[in-house]
Amino acid sequence: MAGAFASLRSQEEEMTETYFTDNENFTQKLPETGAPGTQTASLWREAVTRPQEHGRFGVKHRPLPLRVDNEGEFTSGRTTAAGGALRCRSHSSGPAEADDGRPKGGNGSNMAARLQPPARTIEMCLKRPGRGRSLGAGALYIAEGRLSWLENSGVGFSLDYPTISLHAVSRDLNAYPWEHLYVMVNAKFEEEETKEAPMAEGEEEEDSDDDTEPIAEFRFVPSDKSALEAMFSAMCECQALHPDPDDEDSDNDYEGEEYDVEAHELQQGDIPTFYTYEEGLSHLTAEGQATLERLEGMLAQSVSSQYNMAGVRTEDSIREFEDGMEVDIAPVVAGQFEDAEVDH
Amino acid sequence: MEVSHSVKERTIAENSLVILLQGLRGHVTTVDLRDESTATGRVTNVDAFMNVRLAEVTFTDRQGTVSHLDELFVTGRNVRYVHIPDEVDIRATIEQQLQAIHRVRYFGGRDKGRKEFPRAKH
Repeated sequence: MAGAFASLRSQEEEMTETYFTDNENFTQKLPETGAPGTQTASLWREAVTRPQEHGRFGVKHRPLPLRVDNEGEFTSGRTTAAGGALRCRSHSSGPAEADDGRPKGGNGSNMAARLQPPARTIEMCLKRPGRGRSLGAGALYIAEGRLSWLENSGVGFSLDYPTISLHAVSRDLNAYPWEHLYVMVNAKFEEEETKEAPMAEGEEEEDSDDDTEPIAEFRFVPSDKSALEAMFSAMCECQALHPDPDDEDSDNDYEGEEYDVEAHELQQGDIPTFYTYEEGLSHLTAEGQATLERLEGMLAQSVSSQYNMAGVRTEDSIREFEDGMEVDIAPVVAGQFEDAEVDH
Repeated sequence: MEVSHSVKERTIAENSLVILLQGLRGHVTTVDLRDESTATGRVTNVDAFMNVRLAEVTFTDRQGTVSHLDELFVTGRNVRYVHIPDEVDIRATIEQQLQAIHRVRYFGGRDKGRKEFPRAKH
């Protein structure tokens, strides 16, 4: 691994397939403060049970800098070791960010912090039967911010939940030889090169995009089949945290208006949002009716004074607008303003 | 009858037809996806954002390849149609779902518990 990704463009027919196998000897060691350390990192299982403690990788499609040593362990650090370390734009910054698993724009990954020793390590191997592309052994992180996959060799990628169209548990061995978690993504899968070995995108294949959207498919095969339920449920919950921002349904902004619970309890039935005039009048108490009359009188006076100012005051016009329900604000005489001095 | 634990989701559901889909819980039906694949299975859950969770699914992708999935979760954004089974009484289902929401909302009676909506000022 010279630290470079091979590039991959998946078309709708092409499947990228990955699967887990068990590797008891595999452990991840990640530093707390950025220097090579000995803290073990948890794998997807921890991400499932305590999702808030897991952040996400800094940038989509970029891995953390990793180094693989002979024992199969890798350490993460801001090193530029020639042995396959890869650049990452952002990096874990330490325990201070540990508790906040919420996605932040462009901040460092929180992966190093608050990671527990795994109960069982999971290795993800990559196979490429047919058109699928194998990615290698690694770990799947199901975090609230995004779905991340990190290969043993150091490559990896992240998926944002809004791009994930669907996910499923497949136990049909006729369709695929292992039980796995199937994820369909609404995007192209392209791996990027690193700075150390820039080169033209490797396996650039004929991209015959349909008129429809590109699709990428992933199959994560865990070593332990019983883990699939938890993985699926975790993904469901994380997906629910990312509702579609393009949803045009304006009712979604519904905050809830004041609702007369007491009236409802008293079996007054549906509270109408408006009354007809007669209905409203009948609901008024004596005091209410008196108030209504007073207000109407005030309105009538203000309306008639308008007509005084306009200088057009006839008996007809007074009567016509006396009930106060209509207030004609527009000046009767064209060009005449309300506060203009009237001199007719 | 299960109702969402979220006030926001209950409010959204109460004001849209997604409440009908929520009433399909337990029924076997077909969901047509935006990319023209289809999924037929038993509805486990539908949330206010129309994310659909199905069990025992026969999934036909857009090329026509059929596969079986134990569980499937489709984001609401990618749902085009949800078939309503013939045996489902649409009006009754909607009313039952609304009743379930109201039972949750008014749980504890008039003067007890936290109100979903503030009481109207007199």
